Amino acid sequence: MNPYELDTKQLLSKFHTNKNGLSSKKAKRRLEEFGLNTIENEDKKNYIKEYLKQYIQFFAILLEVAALLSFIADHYVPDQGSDILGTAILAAVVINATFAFWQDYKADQAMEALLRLIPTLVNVKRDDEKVTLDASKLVPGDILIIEEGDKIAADAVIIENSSLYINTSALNGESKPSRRESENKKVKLPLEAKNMIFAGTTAVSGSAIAVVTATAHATQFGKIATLTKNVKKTITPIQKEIIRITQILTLIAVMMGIVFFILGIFSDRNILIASIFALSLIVANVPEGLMPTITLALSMASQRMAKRNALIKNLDSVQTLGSATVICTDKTGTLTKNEMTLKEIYLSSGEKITIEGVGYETKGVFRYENSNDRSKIRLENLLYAGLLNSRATIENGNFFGDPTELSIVAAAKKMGLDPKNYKKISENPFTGERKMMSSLYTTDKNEQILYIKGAPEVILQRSSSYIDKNSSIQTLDQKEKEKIKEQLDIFENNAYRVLAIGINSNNSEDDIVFLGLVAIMDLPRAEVKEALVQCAEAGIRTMMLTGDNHKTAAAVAKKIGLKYDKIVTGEEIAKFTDTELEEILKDNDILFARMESNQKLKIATALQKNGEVVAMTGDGVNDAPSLKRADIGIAMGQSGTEVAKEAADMILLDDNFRSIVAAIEEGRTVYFNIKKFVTYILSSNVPEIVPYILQFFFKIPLPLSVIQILSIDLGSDMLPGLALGSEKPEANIMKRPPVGKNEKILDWEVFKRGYFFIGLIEAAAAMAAFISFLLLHGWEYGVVDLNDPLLHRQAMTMTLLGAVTCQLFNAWTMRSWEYSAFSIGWNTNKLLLIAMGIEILWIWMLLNVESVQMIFNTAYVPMGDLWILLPFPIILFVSHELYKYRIRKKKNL
Amino acid sequence: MKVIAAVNGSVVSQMSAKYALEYANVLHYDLVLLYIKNKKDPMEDVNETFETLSLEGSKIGVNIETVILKGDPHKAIKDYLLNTNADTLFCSTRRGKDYFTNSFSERLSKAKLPVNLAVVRVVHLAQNNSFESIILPIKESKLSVKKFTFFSVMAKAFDAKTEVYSITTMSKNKMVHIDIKKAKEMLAFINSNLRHYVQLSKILGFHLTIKHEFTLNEENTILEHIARSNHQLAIIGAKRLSFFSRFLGKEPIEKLLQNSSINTIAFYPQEE
Repeated sequence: MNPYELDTKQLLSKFHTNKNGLSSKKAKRRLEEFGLNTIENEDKKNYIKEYLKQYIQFFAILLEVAALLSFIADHYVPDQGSDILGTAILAAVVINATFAFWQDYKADQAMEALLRLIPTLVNVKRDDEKVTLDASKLVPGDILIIEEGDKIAADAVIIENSSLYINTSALNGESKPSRRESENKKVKLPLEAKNMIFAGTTAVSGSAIAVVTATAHATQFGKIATLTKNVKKTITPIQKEIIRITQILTLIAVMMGIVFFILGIFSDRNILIASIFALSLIVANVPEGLMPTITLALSMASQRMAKRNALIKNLDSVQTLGSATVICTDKTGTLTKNEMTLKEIYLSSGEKITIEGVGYETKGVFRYENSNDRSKIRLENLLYAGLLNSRATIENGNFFGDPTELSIVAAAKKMGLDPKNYKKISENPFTGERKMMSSLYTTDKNEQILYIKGAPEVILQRSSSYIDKNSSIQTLDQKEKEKIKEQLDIFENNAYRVLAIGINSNNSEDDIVFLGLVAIMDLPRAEVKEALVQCAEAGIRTMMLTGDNHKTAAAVAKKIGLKYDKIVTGEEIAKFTDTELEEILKDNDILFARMESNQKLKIATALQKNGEVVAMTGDGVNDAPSLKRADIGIAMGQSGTEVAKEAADMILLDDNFRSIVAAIEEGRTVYFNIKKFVTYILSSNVPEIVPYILQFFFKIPLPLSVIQILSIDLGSDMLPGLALGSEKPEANIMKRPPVGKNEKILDWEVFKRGYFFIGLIEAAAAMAAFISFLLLHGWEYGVVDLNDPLLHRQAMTMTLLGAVTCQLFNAWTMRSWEYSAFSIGWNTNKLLLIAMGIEILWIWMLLNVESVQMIFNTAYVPMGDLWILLPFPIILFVSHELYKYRIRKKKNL
Repeated sequence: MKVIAAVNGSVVSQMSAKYALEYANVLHYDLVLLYIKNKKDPMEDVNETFETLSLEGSKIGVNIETVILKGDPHKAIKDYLLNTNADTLFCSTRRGKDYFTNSFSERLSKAKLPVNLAVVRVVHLAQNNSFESIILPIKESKLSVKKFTFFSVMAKAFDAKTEVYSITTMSKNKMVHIDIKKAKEMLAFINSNLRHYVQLSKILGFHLTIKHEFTLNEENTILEHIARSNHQLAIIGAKRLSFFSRFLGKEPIEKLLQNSSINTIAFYPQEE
């Protein structure tokens, strides 16, 4: 039996306690048995250890070995720049490790926010005395004393209650205080038990005495904490891709290094030379700048998203957004405005009145149907009844109170009503059981009138009369009641929340004079309809999750143009097995009604098992596990709790569904931008590798030094690469299907374009520049060691410039994966223009600044020789544009 | 045959003894309440446990015997068990620095006792006589007959639905490369290995479902699953780890006992 089902006597006996509290001795023993009432710290990470772990990742180890070999090489063959090379490689390792660590660190903050909800001190009865003790020392069986404002530290069953209201938003997202009771009732779940209070909640008003039934992880809050702590993201697509790209490129690098090391040994080169040669090939093959460039590109994309009201917390999710196949969205505030508006009124005399104006605007026109000359007075009476029987106020454009009541107050203001001639005597507040509230007033004529509002079925049942067309009171017979119910159905089928309003000249909630119905709606956001169409075109399924009943859910869906195959209620979900839920979610677009937010996790998990990439919205603390579980957890910036925000990957600053779609557009753009700059970076690997291979097989001097390779990878390629990462969305980006989970960034197309097409042109450019320059300056084939070191440096400079100038044009043509570079507009990517400017300055520095020449083994080359470089970048640009033209033709773009 | 419940007067040991009582009831065994004299335990609490359990035992027709031993608890229990025809020893665990590591229960788990050992960690005092659902997490399809037998008896004792939660742990690298088709093949293989247990549960008359999960971290996945589902008791098959394994890290059972949100039994089958 659950503790909340027991009566006080049974409860005290079950927990071996009494109303005077545990004895100190017993409490001490229980603390040993149950442990401290804490959740934190058992798994707290050692961040130093976590940071150091980044240095033992495969990619990092490879670069560290390369750095070590560089320093060894420098020791044996000094002044070749190997020490600078080693330092530069180590710098790349540190940058990569720091970026990766920062991402992990930020992901752990949700737990910290959660734990701030638990108090440090509590009042309990021990040895028949009230004592204040550390909340961690609380044990099952303790008698907890709760007073107004107290944070609650454990789950407990109330045994004495004095109008206690608690805020349970930490557990179920419900922002309205919930009244507690001391009687035990049969309910299914502990959270539904009205005689329980829960850890992580707060006593808003009243007081109570309760028996502690669970502490630490056993509490409902502890379960959320366990889920928040333990629910780990499945590996994001970008993480998968980075792992894959790293593995493939490293494998290629190491294989080539080993092959050429062995060949070096067999071709009479000494071990040191052979290892430096192998190292050079490895360094040339490993794209050292790839990781920081991807991270920076994601970071820039997140800045663009912030401008579109989507704040990205976890950089990896930028790209995951591009793969999103399902959006599970809350209704209130995301699809709707979360501003209740009184739109229609039905008077008991049969008139229907439509009110203009949105939200809590205090100006608007009333349009009447079936009216007569006294309709306005009857409407005023109804709105007075609503206004007076309400706690909400609107003053100088500021709103206070419940949104539903605010909408009635706003309508009364539109009518110009002023309640100053009425004096409130008493109020009988709304309760879940009565489903109504009433307020007693004295009018300026010294009459006492009771104003009543509440659920239509309750008010109708308690009403015995109504006001007719002649403003006289008539008996409310069954026929009239049916008429009103018909209207009620019409309102409800149109997604309205309906309240009935009545009055009574006797101070009684029975024999009410029925005045009419008010139909209130949380209006859909105007821009949602278009965003939903965009989602459908982009192959993204949208599913709405709401606590409303299925009628309201269906009506809202209709209003916003959300298509669905089925309505599933929270109750049904509770009955489904995991497999059944997965099956239902497979091909159906579901509208979820009467949902409890703890069911979101089940839905996210089932969708993921179906291979979907899930974006899910949430705002309450209890949404934290599902936000962490979803591929992209989206918290509401305006209405969301701190815990939800910490658990999410993305925060919607305006709580608006359209911003999710905008973020997905950016996510897809990032995917293609990464593809572009990976291709761009791979292209320059070929002119870095080919010179070494040629030097191995042919009798030519060394065309390119290792430090020059690094100057490309970590220098000249970085800015244009980043600029490609910040390209704006392409025209058809939201007409494509989502980027598939199995779609790779590094696919054959990227390899083909990078290595075998653009890369080969660049290699030809680099080698043509090197050989032509040497031949023009009297070199003959077969001379490997040049007597003139300046000539050698000039020739190497030409090789470097051959690659760099080609990359300049490559960046320009790579701006679009399929479309012509000319169609994008030459100045739409300002960063690329800046990168180009810096590249040209860099080329000038390589040729003219002595200190730069010293570091990078370059030398001044006369203008008369630089013409050799000219044809290849143009060939590269034109041939890639022709290649894209062929793709467009093939795809009918 | 006897079922032994080690008690010390604490509320958790009383709870553990109640599980033992239900277990004995299903198998028609006698229950021995075993107490080893100790200055720390108030004798009135121990007597209360004896009385409560004897009363409950008489209600359901289980013979109850109380035994009080003296001396080193570890040796006393071992000697007693060597001379008794017993099936399972139930004992509760409580927190020192940890719940299990370096505890008396851990010493028992390594003592090569001639019985099964059930180490009970209590977090909910009210749940002692009814469970709607019991969960048994296992590695892939590794479910021994002894473990299943204990699980079945507990299911029958509390007339509970049951779930076998099969976890496949894999490396990050493997997780990156696994596709849906391969995953489904793996699940089908596990299901076929466990099929006979499902059939057996039907014969024994309790409801058994099998659920699966692929994960990078076994313990976290179990804890997460327990926290989000509606089970009231977890039975975890535990291993008697060697010194070397202990040296490499804490026992996984420690983390599970520390963080579980429901009452949990770590079950150590009798070694052959």
